[in-house]
Amino acid sequence: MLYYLHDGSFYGLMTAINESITRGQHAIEFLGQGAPAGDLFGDYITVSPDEAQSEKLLQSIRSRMGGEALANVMYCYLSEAANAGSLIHNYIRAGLKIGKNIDSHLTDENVKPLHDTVFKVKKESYRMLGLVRFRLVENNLYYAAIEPDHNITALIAPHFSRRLADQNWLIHDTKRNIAARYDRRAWDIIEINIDRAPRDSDRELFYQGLWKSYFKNIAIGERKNPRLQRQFIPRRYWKNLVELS
Amino acid sequence: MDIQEKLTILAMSAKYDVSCSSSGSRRENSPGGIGNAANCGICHTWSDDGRCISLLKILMTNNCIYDCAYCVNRSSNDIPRTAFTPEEIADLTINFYRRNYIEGLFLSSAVFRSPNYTMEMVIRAVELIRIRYRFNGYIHIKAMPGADRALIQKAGLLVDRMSVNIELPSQKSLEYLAPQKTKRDILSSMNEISTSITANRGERKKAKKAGPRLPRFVPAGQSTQLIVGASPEKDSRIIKLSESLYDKLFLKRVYYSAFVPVSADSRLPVLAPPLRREHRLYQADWLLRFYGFTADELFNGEDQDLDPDIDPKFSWAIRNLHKFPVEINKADYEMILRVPGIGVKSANRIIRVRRVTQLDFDDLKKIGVVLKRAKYFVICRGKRFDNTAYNESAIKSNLLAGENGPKGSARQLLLFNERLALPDPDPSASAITGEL
Repeated sequence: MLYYLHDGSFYGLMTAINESITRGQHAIEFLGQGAPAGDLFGDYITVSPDEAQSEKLLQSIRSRMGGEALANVMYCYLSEAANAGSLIHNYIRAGLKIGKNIDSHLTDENVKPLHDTVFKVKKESYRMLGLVRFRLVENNLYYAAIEPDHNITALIAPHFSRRLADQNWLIHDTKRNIAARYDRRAWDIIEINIDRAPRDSDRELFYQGLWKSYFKNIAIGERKNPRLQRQFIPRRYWKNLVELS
Repeated sequence: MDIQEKLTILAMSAKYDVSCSSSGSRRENSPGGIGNAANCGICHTWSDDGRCISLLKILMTNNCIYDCAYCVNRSSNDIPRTAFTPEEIADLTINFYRRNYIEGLFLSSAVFRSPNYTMEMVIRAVELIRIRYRFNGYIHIKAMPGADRALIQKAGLLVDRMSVNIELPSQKSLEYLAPQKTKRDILSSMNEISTSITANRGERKKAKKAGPRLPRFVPAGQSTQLIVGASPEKDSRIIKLSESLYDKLFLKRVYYSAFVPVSADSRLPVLAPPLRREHRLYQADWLLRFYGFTADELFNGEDQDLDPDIDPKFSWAIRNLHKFPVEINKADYEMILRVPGIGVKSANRIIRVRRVTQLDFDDLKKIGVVLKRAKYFVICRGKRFDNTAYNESAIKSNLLAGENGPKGSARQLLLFNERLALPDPDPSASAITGEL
């Protein structure tokens, strides 16, 4: 078994994949930072991120496989799945051969697993648009904490910058210690480490109370259905929802 | 009364209007404004009854001059009555919106003093939110049947969706249970909204070339609601009504709400909410809108109810076995859509994959086709899935045995005792969707 070790960044992974494709290698796994290199009989190659090489590969993906395929590669990377690297690698190898039709091969063993992962990322990203809950905290900031399975913070930031254009907000991915930050002009992604939860503003608990009360009263008691409710919002998201926490 | 009490009362009064959608309108934010509307709609949370919440759904007031038998706000009910001020509605909407609790506002109302007076109150609240607070999120309001044309015109330019609830599927039932609301008033308001939408779209198209865009009138379209189980009409009557609403008034959506007894009235049945029946109606509705079915096809031209044990798509398929099997690699989209176990998504995927390769049953499974149902109706490259018998009774018993298990037979016995609604073990029977 051949293992490529890279630094976990997008360019790091792309460089490693580029290396393996140029050398026509098979049976590979791609390990980012922190992944255990425990295979006694494996061959390990360490690769440093090379922006130029990566951009060249991304260019050929776009021209040979199409823009949708390039987006798929990026979504798969954001999934942070353990096998994201090999999924992308197999997809690219198949795509460079097949060409622009690659995404029509829905059942192909090199395509379907990547599509399934891309779908998970897109689904969580869309769901988050509804699940983010802001609190008005000190310094006139609307603060939200999220704990997504996948790295989708940058995917949801543009939506909130358009929608809540006239308020300062911060969406904090507490799992990854990063946040999307918006200052009423533009948004960016920052690394963040906070030692205490932000203090709520005066009226914050008042509006939270109104929302919780509304949430309880809008349900039709005779149709109570906790299983259906959990089907739509899995319990792991409840922690950061005002009405269900 | 403070805003907390008002919100409790006026949300509880609004909950039986089951419309939950925030989709159908793409609205952009404006400089200095707040909010936009996403065309696909966004669900923010799900209430304890399993329904999606995307809007702040409230009544302007629950103080009603009408006395409709089925309604919790009927004038003869002894409940606390109150009303919001436009400022209170704006305060709630904007603050919930800023926290991303909601996509926007759903504002309905009891009829206070008169339909016109009520609509004017509603319009005042919406104007305040749209203009003073510069709110560009989603707004859905109810039109009061019988309100003036001019008020409907004014309201329509401010909101994304405007709707009127028919509630009872026939004039007879309307006269019996809600005599103060006439069929004529309801239909004329719906017609007014419908023709204005069409006219506005035409004008915008023409004006597009001339210069600045005209404002839109009810861009997310019109919807309505029918109560299921409060009156004796059969499912065929209900679905035929929906069909003509879609065909003639271009309605976006009909909602079906299982009747929940909220006040004692001898004109109304006493039963548990008919959730399974409501679920089958949603499935039939989906067949009309997305699968190319007509009401006549679903009911064989007769006045009857849908089969409670078998979904309407499967029921049609086993009544029309001569149309099957379908060769998945050659058949056209419309026929593929008719196969039980193949939904719109799978059908589109099949068409897409077919361009590059031939499909076998393994592929169908990967695509997401429910082979347990579809296997009776398709062939791949000329071959059947297995050697199961393909006549109507064999298929039916195979399916019922698989799906319902031992409970299925118990339900069969009870069904002979009129339409008793049973507590439903199937959680999906409460979801407001008919996806098959």
